[in-house]
Amino acid sequence: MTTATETRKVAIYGKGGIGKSTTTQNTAAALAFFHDKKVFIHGCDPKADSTRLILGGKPQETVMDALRDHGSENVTLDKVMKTGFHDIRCVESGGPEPGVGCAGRGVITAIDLMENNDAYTEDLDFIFFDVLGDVVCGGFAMPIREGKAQEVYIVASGEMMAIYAANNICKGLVKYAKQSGVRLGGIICNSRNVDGEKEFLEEFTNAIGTQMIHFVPRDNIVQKAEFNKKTVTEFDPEQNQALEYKELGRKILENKMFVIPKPMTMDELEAMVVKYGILD
Amino acid sequence: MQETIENKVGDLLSFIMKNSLWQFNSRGWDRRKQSEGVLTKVSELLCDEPVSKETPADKCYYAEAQCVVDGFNKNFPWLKDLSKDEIKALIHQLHERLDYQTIDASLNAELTVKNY
Amino acid sequence: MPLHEFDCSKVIPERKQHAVVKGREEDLTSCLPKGYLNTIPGSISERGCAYCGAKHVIGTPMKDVIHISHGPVGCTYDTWQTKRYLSDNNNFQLKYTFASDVKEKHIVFGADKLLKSNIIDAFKAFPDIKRMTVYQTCATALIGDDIEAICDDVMEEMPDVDIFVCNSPGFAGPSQSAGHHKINIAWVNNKVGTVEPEITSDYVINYVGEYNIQGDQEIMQDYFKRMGIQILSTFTGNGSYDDLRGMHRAHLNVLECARSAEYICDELRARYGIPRMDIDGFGFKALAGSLKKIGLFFGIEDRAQAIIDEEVARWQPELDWYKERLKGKKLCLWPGGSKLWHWAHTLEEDLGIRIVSVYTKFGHQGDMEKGISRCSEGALAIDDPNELETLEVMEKLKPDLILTGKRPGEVAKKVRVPYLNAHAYHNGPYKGFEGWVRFARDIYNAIYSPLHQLAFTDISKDDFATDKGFMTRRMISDVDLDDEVKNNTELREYTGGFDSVSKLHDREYPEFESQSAPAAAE
Repeated sequence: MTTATETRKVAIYGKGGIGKSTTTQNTAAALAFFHDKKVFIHGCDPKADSTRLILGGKPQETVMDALRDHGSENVTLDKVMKTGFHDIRCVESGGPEPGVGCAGRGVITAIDLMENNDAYTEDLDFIFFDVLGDVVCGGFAMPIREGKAQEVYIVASGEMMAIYAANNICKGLVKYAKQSGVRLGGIICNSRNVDGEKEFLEEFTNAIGTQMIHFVPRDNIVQKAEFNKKTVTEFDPEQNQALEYKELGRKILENKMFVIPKPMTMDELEAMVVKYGILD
Repeated sequence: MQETIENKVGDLLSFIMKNSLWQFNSRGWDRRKQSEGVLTKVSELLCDEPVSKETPADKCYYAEAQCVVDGFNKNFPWLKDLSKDEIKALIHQLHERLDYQTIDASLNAELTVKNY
Repeated sequence: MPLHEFDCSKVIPERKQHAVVKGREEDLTSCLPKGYLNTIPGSISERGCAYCGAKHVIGTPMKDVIHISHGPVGCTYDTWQTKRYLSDNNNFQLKYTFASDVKEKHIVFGADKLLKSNIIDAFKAFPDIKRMTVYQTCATALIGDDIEAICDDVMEEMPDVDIFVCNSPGFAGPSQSAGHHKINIAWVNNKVGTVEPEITSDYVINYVGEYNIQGDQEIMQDYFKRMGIQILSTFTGNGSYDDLRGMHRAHLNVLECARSAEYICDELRARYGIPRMDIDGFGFKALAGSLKKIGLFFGIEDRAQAIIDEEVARWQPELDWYKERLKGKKLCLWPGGSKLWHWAHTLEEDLGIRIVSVYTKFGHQGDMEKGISRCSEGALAIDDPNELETLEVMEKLKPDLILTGKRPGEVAKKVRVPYLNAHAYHNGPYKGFEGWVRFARDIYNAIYSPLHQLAFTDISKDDFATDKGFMTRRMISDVDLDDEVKNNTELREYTGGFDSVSKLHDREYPEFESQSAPAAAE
């Protein structure tokens, strides 16, 4: 199946702490292991925690570290790109400590540097940009600007703040959809086991004109694998949860539903939250 | 007669507008204070009345007023022929027209800004 | 309102509100352009930014200070002290300019450590200088570097230094004028009152809004000293950092450029009760009136009058020599802010020159009020002009000279209109009685320069006369002059020499007996 198809560039957004990095790495591992795809992960979070499960916890010099220590002209792929599980290539943007500098500028600079170094090669099937919680400024919208990611998946759960963040991310996406062609591929539910979660998310995704592409159930094996610095697929591909990620990978591979979302107003969102009784 | 007084006030006003700067402080309330302070003393000086120079602000108004009076005396010799009452009436009109032009009918949109 | 629409700006209808013609019956209630608004898109204005206004205009004339920009090096270069604000400490602040030279990586990771090490390095490189001003720029304002905290740190580690922080990034207002405001208020909030000055006279002033362009401040200082007045500080030309921390002890603030420095005067008036007195340092009549006014405030007007009499006797014949030759010339007065009102009526009264247009790049409506009040009927007053508009004015009004900055000045040169630098001067200083004669000489030299005829001679062809020399200035300027004037032995050209400032340094000043305190210690 590795014919010369176009590389699919995917950005993963979602509220902080929702499990973006976990979902991204597990999905990437499943695509590589079960579906035989060539995958690249570019972590765009200043915390630089988007690739440790793929690299088995190996420390990775971030692009911004390299920029600071060696200067931009000396940032080369061999310094900042590492290869991990099933030849998945990994890069971390990195960025400043909390409270100083400009992390958004770091994201822009890192992506520019990777493009200048031809990091995103044509043989790749997937590039995942794993982006910080919210589109707080222009820098964190960089992965969905022209020529970058064309499809976006938002990781969410049935909690109000997760939905609120997802809606907000859609607003950012709408801004760029026209000029860059970026589209929403769906919402990935990373279950928190709250009541009516699936129904709530389905109603929300319908309202904004997209789909819940997959419901990933909660399973402690994910944490156990993480503790061992591995994705579930690498830790134990026979596990049910590994098959869930395999299924998510298949759905992404076969996804045909790419839309410009219609974000809800705050009032509409509040009404929906009340309906599902999450406020009590 | 009325017309000539108006012309005379106009001449005095033009002199101030061309030669003085104190009437142009940036805020409306400040301009009102300045014109009151200076023109009161102009009137006193022209009428040979005692002029207070107690506070620093008084001294400043006095210095400005004396310069205006020197200029008036030099350029408008007809002032000498006026009585004290006529002078007071004249300066009163001058004061009104100055405030009208620099404050009340001013097109300067910054006169009402709260801060300096 | 007698609005003026430029042909070239018909496509920008909003511009019409920014130019007026002062008609016969007009006053300020009917004739005032809009002003100090954001630049209209499509109209490329000649303004600077708020950082430039704070640093380039107000901050850097302070002489005993390391001036460091916290930002990319380009910001620093463009505000390098090119305005010729001299200082009597061998021009330290003119010769050296400093930048933290922020790069991409500092933007991402924060530039606080970089700034701190730069500050310390700069103090070590110049151990005699113990004062510093740090200027924020756009980039470091955006990333939120806490410059105050860094400077507090340094001051703790180096107890003998003092640092002033100026937070005025380029985007903080419509033009440089916003920066003037910010640095005024920051100085009075953070530094005034932190030093107690020594008072040596009964008559104590701050000289405010004076930037010592080519020595202006030293000229005025000479007059003040001859009157026995102590200048506690000058804000900021040739001004000392620590003197300016003691501004609160003056009896009077003498304000020259209200556009750039009225804010600090108004604050000092509100907080410390020091009156504000606006003066004119330019022009014979206006300057004489101003010296007299300061004298009146202190009750020493006789001292002022003595100086006026002496100076006028010395310089009037030279001014009049130029006046005879400049009468009726048409001039566009196109400075940045305050000179539009400082110069408008003085040029007309002292030299018989007609001002056909005034403009201001960054002035407020208050400046335009003064300018329009002081210039003659028929003058075209323009707020924030663009280059095409100024070209249109030059074509239509055919002025003999433009007084403006060096960038629009180069544009004027291209259409063969002479220009003098209104910001940095040509052969200044222009303040004071002698200075005003120097200005008259520069105007004369510019208008009657032989260069203008020579420029029209096509030297690629051989058909010009080789047996004739070119017309000198004098031949051109005196061609229509009455014999009476030409042969007048009273009048003479400027005789003051190349340098009118250095001679003041050796001057001895009279001792006046103090009326209040016991005589100051020798």
